[in-house]
Amino acid sequence: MIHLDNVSKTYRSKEVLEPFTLTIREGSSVGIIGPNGAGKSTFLKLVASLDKPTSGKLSFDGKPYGKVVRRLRTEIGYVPQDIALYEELTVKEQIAFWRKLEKKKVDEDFLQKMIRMLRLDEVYSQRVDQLSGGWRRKVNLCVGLMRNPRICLLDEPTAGVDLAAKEDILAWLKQLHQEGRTLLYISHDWYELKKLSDEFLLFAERKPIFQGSQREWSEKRSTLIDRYGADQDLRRILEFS
Amino acid sequence: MLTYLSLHLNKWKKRPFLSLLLFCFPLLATLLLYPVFENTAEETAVPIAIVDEDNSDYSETILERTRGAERLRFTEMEAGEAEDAVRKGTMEAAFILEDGLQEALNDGDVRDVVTWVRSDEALFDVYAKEAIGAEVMRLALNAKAANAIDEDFDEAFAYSDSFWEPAPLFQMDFTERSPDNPDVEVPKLAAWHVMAIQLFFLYGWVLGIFFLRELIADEKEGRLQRIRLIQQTTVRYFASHFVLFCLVGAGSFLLGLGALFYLADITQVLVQAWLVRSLIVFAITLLVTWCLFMGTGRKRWMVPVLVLLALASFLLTVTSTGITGIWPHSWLVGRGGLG
Repeated sequence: MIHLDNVSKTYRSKEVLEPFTLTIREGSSVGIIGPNGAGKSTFLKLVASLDKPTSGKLSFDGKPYGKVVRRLRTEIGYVPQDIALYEELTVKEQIAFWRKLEKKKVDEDFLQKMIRMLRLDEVYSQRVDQLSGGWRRKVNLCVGLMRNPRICLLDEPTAGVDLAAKEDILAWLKQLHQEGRTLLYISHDWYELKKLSDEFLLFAERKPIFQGSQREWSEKRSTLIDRYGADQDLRRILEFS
Repeated sequence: MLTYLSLHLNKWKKRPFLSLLLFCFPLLATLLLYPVFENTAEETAVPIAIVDEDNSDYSETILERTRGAERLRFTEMEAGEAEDAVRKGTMEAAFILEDGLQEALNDGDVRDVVTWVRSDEALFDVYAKEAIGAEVMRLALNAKAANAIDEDFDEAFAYSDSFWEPAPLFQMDFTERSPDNPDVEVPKLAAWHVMAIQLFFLYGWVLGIFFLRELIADEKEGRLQRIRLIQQTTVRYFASHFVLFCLVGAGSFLLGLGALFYLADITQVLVQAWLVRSLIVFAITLLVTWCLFMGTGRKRWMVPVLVLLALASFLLTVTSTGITGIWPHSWLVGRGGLG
């Protein structure tokens, strides 16, 4: 579905992603993990077409990004790590505003279902800046996915969220995956990743160093520790898995 | 456009008092401070004491007519009191309408009918002398004309006086023109009106610049990225925000300008001239500001830099320092003689 061929990214002569090649299958749920600064968020932005690679090519359904970027953007739902919302607005106003911006008609049934699943109707008339971190994350998620996307790109959607809110978010994402959507999901929490992902993507040293199923992960884990164990942060991630 | 307008209206609605206050500040300042400034302007008029020793119809007429003189503030006093006031400097000069004034004027004699008492420091009392002198001459000429014919004196006097209304006969009709643009007649505003307009212009400009912080925040907090993904492009976002930037700045400025023109009771010609000129200068200023902001990559430091530019424009124009022609404030008041 999405193929990255020898893709790299450099910001002001600093290489943040070394050249790598990988493929994301349609309908897969890929859990992305790795130490800070390993290039996970940059990778997600490249896939979302929010950034351009310094070298290499990306393709979507077999066609280069440059030719299908408009269609691709209608198929993608991106949830950034930042709470990218107008915080002075109420949840209701927030959803209304972003819905108006959408080029294609928002699937009202899908949106209402998401609002119910995330229990946003409980805080509908409250201002976003008066909500707790968990609620804000949920609103951020709702706005990012309100277009009923085919591909969901999620950058730490549960960071700083309490357990109850986390369960709501995970249940909703699980449902999206079960309905056939493709999920790319960055997290530092193995519990979430194992619950949600059928595939792991491990980033280290500015490139993906592992991509495979949970079973493959279990098989290669000790090899990875031997090979990359010198990096303390990475070692901890591998040991905690 | 309307989507972004409703977004910002919703945001402003959360702090309605502050938002309204910021937007309507020039309007409110004008409504509240206009009477104060108007009184101050009146108080800066040249203080002149006038003494009526004759207590006649003629002296009463002179008092009445000089009362409305521009830039002069006549106060009626007793002779001793007036001389004291001039000595102390509270009055720049005193004019005593001497006893027998009416009788002398009826005889066509204008000598020794008014005494002029002035301090050594007096400068502007000559305007008062001109004003009183003109009224005395008018009465004297009317009386002389009435005496010259054998008709009823009062009737002849009134007939002669009618030639002074609405303006004196043979009065020169001067037309003021700008040295820069001789084809354009110079409409004029009071100096403090021009200063107020310059302040409103500065305020509107700075308010617009502060609105630009919204764009910086949208980019920094990831909302612009989200908009790019949703709308495929950011052209509509920037176009809408440019319009809103202009509406915020120019709207606030025009409210202040409108209130000022309404209270100052300025002629239609002058209002039109100022409105057209102000709108053109404001549009150019905002466009240049926008280009500078966008051209330098919408950096946070650009906001204080633009505010400093706006302040420099105001201060350097007002104080006529340096090359004033490059600043928007000088375009507003400098050329075409609008000031």
